[in-house]
Amino acid sequence: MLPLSLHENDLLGGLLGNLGTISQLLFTVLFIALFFGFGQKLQMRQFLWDIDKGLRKLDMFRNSAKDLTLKTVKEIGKPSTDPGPQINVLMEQFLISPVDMDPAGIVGKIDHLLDVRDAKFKEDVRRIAPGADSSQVMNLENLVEASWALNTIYRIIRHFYLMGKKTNSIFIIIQLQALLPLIIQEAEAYLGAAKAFAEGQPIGDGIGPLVASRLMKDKEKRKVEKDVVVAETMMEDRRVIALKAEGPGGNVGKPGDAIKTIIEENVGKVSMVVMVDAAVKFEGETSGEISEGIGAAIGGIGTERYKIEQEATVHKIPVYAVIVKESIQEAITPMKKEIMEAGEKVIERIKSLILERSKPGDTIIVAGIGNTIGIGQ
Amino acid sequence: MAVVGLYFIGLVFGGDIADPNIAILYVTIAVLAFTFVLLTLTRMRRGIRIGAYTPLKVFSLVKCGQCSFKQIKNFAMGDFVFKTLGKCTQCNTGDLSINGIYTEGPPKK
Repeated sequence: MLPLSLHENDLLGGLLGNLGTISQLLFTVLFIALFFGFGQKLQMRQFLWDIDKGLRKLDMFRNSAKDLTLKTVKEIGKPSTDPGPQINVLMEQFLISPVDMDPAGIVGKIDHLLDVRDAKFKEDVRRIAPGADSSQVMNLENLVEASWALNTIYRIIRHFYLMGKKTNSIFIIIQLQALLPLIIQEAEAYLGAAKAFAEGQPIGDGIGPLVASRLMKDKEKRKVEKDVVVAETMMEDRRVIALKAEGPGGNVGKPGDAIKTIIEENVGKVSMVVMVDAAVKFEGETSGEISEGIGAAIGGIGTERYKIEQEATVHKIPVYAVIVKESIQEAITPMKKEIMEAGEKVIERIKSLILERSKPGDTIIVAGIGNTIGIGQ
Repeated sequence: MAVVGLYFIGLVFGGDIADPNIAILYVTIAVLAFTFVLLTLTRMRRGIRIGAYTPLKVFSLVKCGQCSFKQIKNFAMGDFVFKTLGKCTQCNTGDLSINGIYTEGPPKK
């Protein structure tokens, strides 16, 4: 019995000793398999949490902007009925860009579409806010556009989030998660813009109109093309024609058409065009810094720039650009002090540009490009 | 991951593991798990910070066209650049107008 029992104990001890090693090995293998097999899934789950959190923030932003729009429309517009459903319709509005298979004449088509969209938007806003004056209608239009932008951002991000979840596609989710902080920053800027539009405060993009308005202060003004005002002044013995969008309502006007009209009025005898605009700075650059360049400094879809380039080429007029650097957030939120202060420096730059590049008695166009909200003339 | 880390730490300090190589492996796994948890928490905190929106304080710079009178006031609805605000209280001849509207930017955290 004894030898047998000893033998049994040896067996059990050996088995138990092996079991420990086997379980350790098994656990290690399982752990490695978990990391290698499900590591991506775990990471994806974490990315989805991040996106979900960001999406909730975007939802909060768009709701804040929508509430602000409703409140402002009710306060300023004094509508007789609830403007909520009509604002919801405006929030979902879209624009179908023209066919570009045959690109000849596409600028005219886009310009026409933008005109129709602009007129309809303005008319819709005027209808939901009958008590608002023309300046307030412009501001409300900008406000609705900011809310529309936030709503669209939210809808697009939600679409890709749900699509990534549905298809389990890590590539969609990674891209979304990587871009989300930038998108949230932009959305936050749009919310700031909505607040500025609701109160009619000048935004960073308004530096161009601010410079033009300083040049045209106390001078006789006249209206040229759609929503653009022009005034003549003298600078260093040169005749300067300054133009900007008509303020103080939120408006960018059609500077391309205005410059074309002025050049035609002067039978092409314009020695130079100077365009002043806000431009997006690179990270690390200082806001309010000024740069000089050549070409038409104007953003947007490109129709206005096309018109200016076309007219300048026909009459061989040099186009110079003076830009004020700012971030995309600063461009659409209330104007920062350093950007406002850059206005005086821009005027000095224009003076030196005029002295260097033209003769006394020449005619020069100075165009202040940008949204003129909160800036009169 | 925190549970995984704790489990491995428990295994190492429970005294069941005789092989020092296995113990080192488990400690490494636990450290990795805790690092992962720490990084996740830091990222969550950063994410929350981005969303906090601070409304900006906006000022109107009022100047007289004749004398050196200058005043900075809080922006009021209806203010715009070059809006005339009446006669200057200092020289009684010049017109007061809003010369600029600006923000100093968000308060530093």
